[in-house]
Amino acid sequence: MASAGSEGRLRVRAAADRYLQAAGFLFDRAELAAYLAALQEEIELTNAEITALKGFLSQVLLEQVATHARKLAMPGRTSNAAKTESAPAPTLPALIASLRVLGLTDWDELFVEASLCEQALTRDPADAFHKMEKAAKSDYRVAVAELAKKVRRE
Amino acid sequence: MATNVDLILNLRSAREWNSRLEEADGAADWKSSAGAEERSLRMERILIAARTVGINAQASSSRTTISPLREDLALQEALIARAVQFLAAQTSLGCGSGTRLEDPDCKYKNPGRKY
Repeated sequence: MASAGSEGRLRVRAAADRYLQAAGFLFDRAELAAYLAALQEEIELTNAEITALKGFLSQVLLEQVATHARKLAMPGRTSNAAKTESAPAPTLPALIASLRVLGLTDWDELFVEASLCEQALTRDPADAFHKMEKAAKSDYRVAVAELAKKVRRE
Repeated sequence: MATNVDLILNLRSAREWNSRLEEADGAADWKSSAGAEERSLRMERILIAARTVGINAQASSSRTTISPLREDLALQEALIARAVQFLAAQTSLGCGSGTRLEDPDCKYKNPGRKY
């Protein structure tokens, strides 16, 4: 269980890394939604992974900010990671702007858009799921995740 | 203790710093400056990245050591490994300082020693 959790975290970290590298570390909500839709054609992300994605995107951006800070503190020294990277390094203002946009993004809305489980639940013909409270919706998501796990085991 | 005037001045300088930072590079406002072609190229690049398989394999390799604390940790680990190697070598040589008291071989090697 714990290993599955840690594997999931690494997977979502890789997804965040890959998106930001492709986007030149300039975050955009619409582009991320398109990226997640394309990504989930092959690999389905869990609800927990989609929820954790915001934190990992922030982490990747902050690591880039830290690289800039290190360069400012020690101008002569460049890390091995910076030398091997082929992509051009993002500028500090661009990184700060991306962090700001990421912070202002409505993650609940993006979650509904990105989660395949959520999309299936909202297709409820009686429209009951849509009318539910936040806590009840969360319970349903957990129940669906447990069902999916059981099906995979069998 | 900061007075109200100090706070206002600090706030103003922070705002100036922020606006200068944004003006300094056009990349901060990339969306308005980017053309339609550039945007479609970006989107294409992002979609290619999404469809590239092997996200699990990339997870471990793409991680870089960012924190100096982690570098310190690696150094500490190397030092500990060296110390363990040294102690193992000492133990294999015989009854050195690292030998246990209950080791029966020690009585033969150091007959005069009281246990």
